[in-house]
Amino acid sequence: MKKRWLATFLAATMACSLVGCGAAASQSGASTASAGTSTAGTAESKTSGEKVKLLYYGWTDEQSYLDPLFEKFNAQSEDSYIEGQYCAVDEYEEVVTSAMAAGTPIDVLAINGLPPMSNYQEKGYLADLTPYAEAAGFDAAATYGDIYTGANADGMYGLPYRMAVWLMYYNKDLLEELGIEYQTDKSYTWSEYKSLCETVQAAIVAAGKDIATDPNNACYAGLVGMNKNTTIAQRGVRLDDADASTAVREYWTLWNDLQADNTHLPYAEKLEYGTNVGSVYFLAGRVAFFQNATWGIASYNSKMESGEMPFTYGIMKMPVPDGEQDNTNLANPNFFGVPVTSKNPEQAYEFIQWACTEGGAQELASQSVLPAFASDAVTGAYTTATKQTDNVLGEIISSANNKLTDLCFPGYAEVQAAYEEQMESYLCGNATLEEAVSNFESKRDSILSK
Amino acid sequence: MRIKKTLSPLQRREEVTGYLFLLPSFIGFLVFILIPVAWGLLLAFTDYDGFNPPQFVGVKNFVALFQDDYFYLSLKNNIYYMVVSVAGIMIIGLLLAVFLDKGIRGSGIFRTVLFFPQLTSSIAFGMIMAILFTSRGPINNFLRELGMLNPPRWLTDTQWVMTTITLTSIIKNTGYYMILFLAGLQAVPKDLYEAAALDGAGSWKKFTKITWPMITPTFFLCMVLCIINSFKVFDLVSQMTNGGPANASNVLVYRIYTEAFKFGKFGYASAYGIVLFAIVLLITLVQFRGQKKWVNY
Repeated sequence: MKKRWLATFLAATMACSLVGCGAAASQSGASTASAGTSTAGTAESKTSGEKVKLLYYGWTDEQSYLDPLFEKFNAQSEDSYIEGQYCAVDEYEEVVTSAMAAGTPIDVLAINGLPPMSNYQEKGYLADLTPYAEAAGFDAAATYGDIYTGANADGMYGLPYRMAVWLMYYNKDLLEELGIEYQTDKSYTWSEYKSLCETVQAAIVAAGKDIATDPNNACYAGLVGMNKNTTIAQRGVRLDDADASTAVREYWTLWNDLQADNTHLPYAEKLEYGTNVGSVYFLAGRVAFFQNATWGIASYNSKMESGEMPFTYGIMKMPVPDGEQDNTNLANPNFFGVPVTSKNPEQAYEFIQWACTEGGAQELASQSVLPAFASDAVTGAYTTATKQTDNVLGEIISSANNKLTDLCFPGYAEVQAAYEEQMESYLCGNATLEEAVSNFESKRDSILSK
Repeated sequence: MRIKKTLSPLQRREEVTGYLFLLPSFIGFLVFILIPVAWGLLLAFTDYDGFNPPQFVGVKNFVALFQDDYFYLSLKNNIYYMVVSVAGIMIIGLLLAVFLDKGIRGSGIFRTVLFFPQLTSSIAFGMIMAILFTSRGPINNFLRELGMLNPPRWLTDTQWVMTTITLTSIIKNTGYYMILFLAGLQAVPKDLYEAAALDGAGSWKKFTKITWPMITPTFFLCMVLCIINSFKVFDLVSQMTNGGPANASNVLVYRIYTEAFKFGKFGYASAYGIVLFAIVLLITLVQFRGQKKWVNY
């Protein structure tokens, strides 16, 4: 009898623990991002006094400047306070997908650029905030222009809080050491940039810094940081355009030429290094030119001060394709949206409107983060924080010729994946240009026909 | 005539006790395996996107799957991986086990060293191997030292990338199967070898006439496990290549992950899962039918 009771007790205990596990899992469905960290709130329970708690989902790269933003909001808001959940940026899309599938009541969702903004709207993740904006008398289209209207087709699904503008960083010390002259007052064309890189590479070889001399510490003239669709976006071409192949062919040819003449790190090696490629080559002072976005400025300033980056960097405009206007750089906004699973959409909207306008923008700008909202005060705060010695950055971020990095459409994620697959195939030498372009066209057509 | 089994009160109590002990495990199996599998089976016939309510679409996902180039590419890669990694692991594992079974000096250290990769997490192991296999990594530097001017681009050449992942898998998993073979070898009665030696049998004769027949049940078990595991490969692919370049190292499980979590096509991904299950089941059934011809129990 004793044995039977013991067995019953053990079975009940273990069954309860299983149920407990399930409950814990569902409670921390919100914590799917738990690999990351949770911070920024001051309240310890569901509510802090009378305030409503807002749950935020984002990725760790932004934590350093969003936590202060949240603190500032929490200090001034009488209705709500916000707490951040962060995970690694590489995992973020999967975390959001899982959280939405689980019905996690996220109140504010960070949206990492135009493709996910389009994707989340397509899937119905995001609530239409139009009624709240109308009630508040806020005109987002007038405030942000194309970066807002291009991403919000039939309603208000998100407001842009941060901009990333792609530009060209250069290693001032290396160029001076090699005796290379360069221009920053206007954009190079890509052809001019290629010629400049050939000159730099010849000087690198002459200085004994080339790959044959020292494979592990050699320099390249350039490193392509942005590997997706630079010139395609600069020309304003969408990947579903009938004549997109011409622009695709132009960009892949340019990329291939840059690696074929040994001026740039080969694409295959860039694949091996992944997102660390900038750290491996640019931060170590091993390339003269590096395409990256404005988010690098705060990091490079801090690394220069600490000595981790052993050279002085400068900024120049992104080269442009032949026939395009000077100072055509690429911009990619990040958005805050309110998922349909939110239990506090009204308060979430209040936070978003605050964070994406003067109050929040000033806070971001003071931390060298480029806000999407522009005003004299915000631009002044950003210019001061980024500690630039010339006005090139100001000209780049305020250029009227700037274009969006991605022109999205339904099915964009799959088309983009097919595009990258064929680009990889060509640039790694596994297919000819014509084969790769033809494969891309047929895959794209097949995806879009569904 | 079927005789109804009657249990004494004591036997009945013990039977109930046994079931109660099984209950927690069964609940876990039910909640975490059986129900999700059944749910996955149902999802394969829907357009579920992970968020909106699923709509029944009949066999549309399966029709689309059999017209999908990525399915055949992934299947081809999986078959290559299965054939090469299973052959490599089985042959090398068995040879190492036979070698270590001789009781040579230092065999304990060898055993530990060879088993060590199995103790490492696949992600960490994949990360280290990816660094070793980079174009300017230690392996290619060594090959250059040997005079090879253009060593393979292990991770970025579509011709080489599956071989690289397969090699990594062989290095990681051989130690585990070696230990299983070693257990099988140690169960072979030593007097059989003594009798064979008295009859003048050499090492090869002893292996083919005694060792091999006696360990075929172990070998069969290992082969079944290894083939099933080969179809489940995901971690090494995810860590070393993300299925690239140009999908050249995509395998079925990685494709399932891509369809579900990158494209939000959970219904379609479930159809992939069902087809993968059918393939593994078919191969396992063929193995069980074929075993009668060569496995000695």
